[in-house]
Amino acid sequence: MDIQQIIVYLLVAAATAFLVKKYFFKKKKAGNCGGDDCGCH
Amino acid sequence: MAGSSLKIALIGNPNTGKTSVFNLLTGLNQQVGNYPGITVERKVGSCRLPNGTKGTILDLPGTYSLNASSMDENVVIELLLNKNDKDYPDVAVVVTDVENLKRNLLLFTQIKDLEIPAILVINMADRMDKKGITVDIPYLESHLKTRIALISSRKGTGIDHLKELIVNYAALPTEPCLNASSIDPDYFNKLRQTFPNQLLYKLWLVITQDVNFGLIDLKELQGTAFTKTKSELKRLQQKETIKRYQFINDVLKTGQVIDHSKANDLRAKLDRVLTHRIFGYVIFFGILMLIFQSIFSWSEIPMNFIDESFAWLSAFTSQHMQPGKLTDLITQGIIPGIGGVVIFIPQIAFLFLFISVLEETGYMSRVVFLMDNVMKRFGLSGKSVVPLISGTACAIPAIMAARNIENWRERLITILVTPFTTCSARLPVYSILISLIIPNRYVLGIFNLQGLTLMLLYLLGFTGAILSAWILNKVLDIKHKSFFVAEMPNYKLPLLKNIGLTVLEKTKAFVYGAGKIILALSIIIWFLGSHGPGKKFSDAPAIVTAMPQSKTLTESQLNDAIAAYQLENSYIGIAGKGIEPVIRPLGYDWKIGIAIVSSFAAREVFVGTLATIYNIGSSAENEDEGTIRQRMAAEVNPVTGEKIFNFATGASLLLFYAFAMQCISTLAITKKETNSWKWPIIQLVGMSGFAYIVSFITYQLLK
Repeated sequence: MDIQQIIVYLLVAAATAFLVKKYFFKKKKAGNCGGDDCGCH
Repeated sequence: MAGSSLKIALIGNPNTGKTSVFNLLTGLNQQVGNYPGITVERKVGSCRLPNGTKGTILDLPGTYSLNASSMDENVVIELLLNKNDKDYPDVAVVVTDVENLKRNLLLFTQIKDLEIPAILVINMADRMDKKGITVDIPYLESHLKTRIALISSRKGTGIDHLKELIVNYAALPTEPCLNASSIDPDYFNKLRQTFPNQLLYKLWLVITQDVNFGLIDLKELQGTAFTKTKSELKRLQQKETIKRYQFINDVLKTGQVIDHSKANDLRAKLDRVLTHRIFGYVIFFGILMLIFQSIFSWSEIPMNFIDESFAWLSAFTSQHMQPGKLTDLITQGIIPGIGGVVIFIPQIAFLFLFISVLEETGYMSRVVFLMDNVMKRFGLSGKSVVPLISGTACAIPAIMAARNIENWRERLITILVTPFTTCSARLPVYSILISLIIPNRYVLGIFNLQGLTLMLLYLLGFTGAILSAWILNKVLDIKHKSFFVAEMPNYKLPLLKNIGLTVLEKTKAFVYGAGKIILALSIIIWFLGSHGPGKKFSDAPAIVTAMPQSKTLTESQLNDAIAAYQLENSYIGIAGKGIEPVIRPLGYDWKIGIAIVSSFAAREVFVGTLATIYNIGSSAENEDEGTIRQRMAAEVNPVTGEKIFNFATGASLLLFYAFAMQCISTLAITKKETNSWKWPIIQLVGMSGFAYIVSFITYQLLK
């Protein structure tokens, strides 16, 4: 396997990880005030 | 204070020029967050204040008062009542319009009563002479217990004075304007006795806005001796509003003089024409036609330049890099994929240029008023026009903008139908398909046929939205009482700086938002198209060369035949072939099928995906054959020899993209806004099913 192929595999892995993170592991935003962890109390 | 950052909240009624003040204070140092629409976006910016102090400015959604009637207004209240919020301001800058001072001051007095240091900005000072208005600043400062900056955001005057006031915010008086106890002395005395350490007006807002803040829980108040019913609280709120207006009237009696004889009535004359029940619509559709004609005509030269530049870049890279997988990925995957985004920058920029001009001039508010008559017949509100027009940018903020519609039934219908509006992600798809199937010629000497088709598609989306609304209005069993209140701001010459910033911000959002997804998908699609299982893929050169028909091919033709065979037997080819039976009746081959499936990540991915698929294994060294449009136009059906993108397939695809629900993010936001999976599922099945049927009928009739 040459260096170009290694870089290609790394880029494919990074692209897949980016899309999986974007669509399946979205960051939860803080909810409205009134929740237990909203920081208002 | 030098070196530290001062937190400044910019607050005000809609249409007071708050965004212009924000732009003047921050320039290009802005970050745009997730609140919807121009006046309800959550923008944070920074500015350098006198003495080297840094200011962080939060542009809050436009609100008429602290009595929230929409979720956007809640954002303002939640922040101002919550000292633990990281954005809680050191100083509030309340922007008002000199022509609507009386109404705008209601919000100011409420903020003052929360004892937050507040500066009053009286904007649009440049219009005072024309409107015969004079203000007595020292008198107003002394009676409103504040400092005032008289500014003109149009001319950029008064901003330095405002910065001086901000930096000296510690000297601002924090006395309230209204004695909260005067609303209902008995009730407020009991409140004070129970919560002696709490600010009385804050308590009152906690009770009336049904939210919990500080150490006080609404539940603590319920069931006590001084509990009030909802209608009693409503009556007290009205009493509070009346008391505030009495106070404001008293102050303005001396503090502001309006000589009506000096005011001219150009606004009234324009309103009569622009909101006329016949001419109003004629003018509106005339403006729409002008916009779509211009989008196509003006964008042609820069789009061709970008298209050819990327083809050249791909060929240049291929010639100058070492042959190998990475070179193939860059020339066949990444460059065409990114080119598929960048090429649409001119059209996106022109679209937002026109939309921001319409908003800046005040015309958009007339459209809202004009369309209310039409909208209410379909179960929508006049305010639904804002999400429907914002939907031309993106359905996500547009759906969030529906929060401004007070009535739940109208809001739900608006949320469900907004994705029919043609969003900017559809524009690249429409644009490339129109250029492939509609001739670039003029009708009646002035109307470009491609521009007319684009306008027709936008109108189709809008018609789809209101017809679906009509059906939902008949079907949905939700009781409602509807009312419509909208403000028509003064006509203004648009500010170039505001328009420039809007165009820049929206174009950046398109390029960076969609660009990252497209880049990632381009890499994956190229990989899946360049790799495959089994011997059919790995032995493709030997298999194709051994075919009898290959004997007569030139070397270049043989290479293309091998590439096509490999692509068909690659991972993506196998997946595409798997879905082909479902999409074949619509006139699509497996390559278009792959592009449609990948469009669920973002619609504009369609063009990038096809560009990547058509580039895999092709001879990129020849830049003349390398533009996206040329490659799509040259694609033929290997069985029939006919062009893939003929009129029937193109029309079927255009209609599929016009009606199908293809955006995961939109479904997610619908779920969030309706707090139920039921509605996004109805949206997905209803819209996509309808799109399938329409595209099927279209292809079968036209083929």
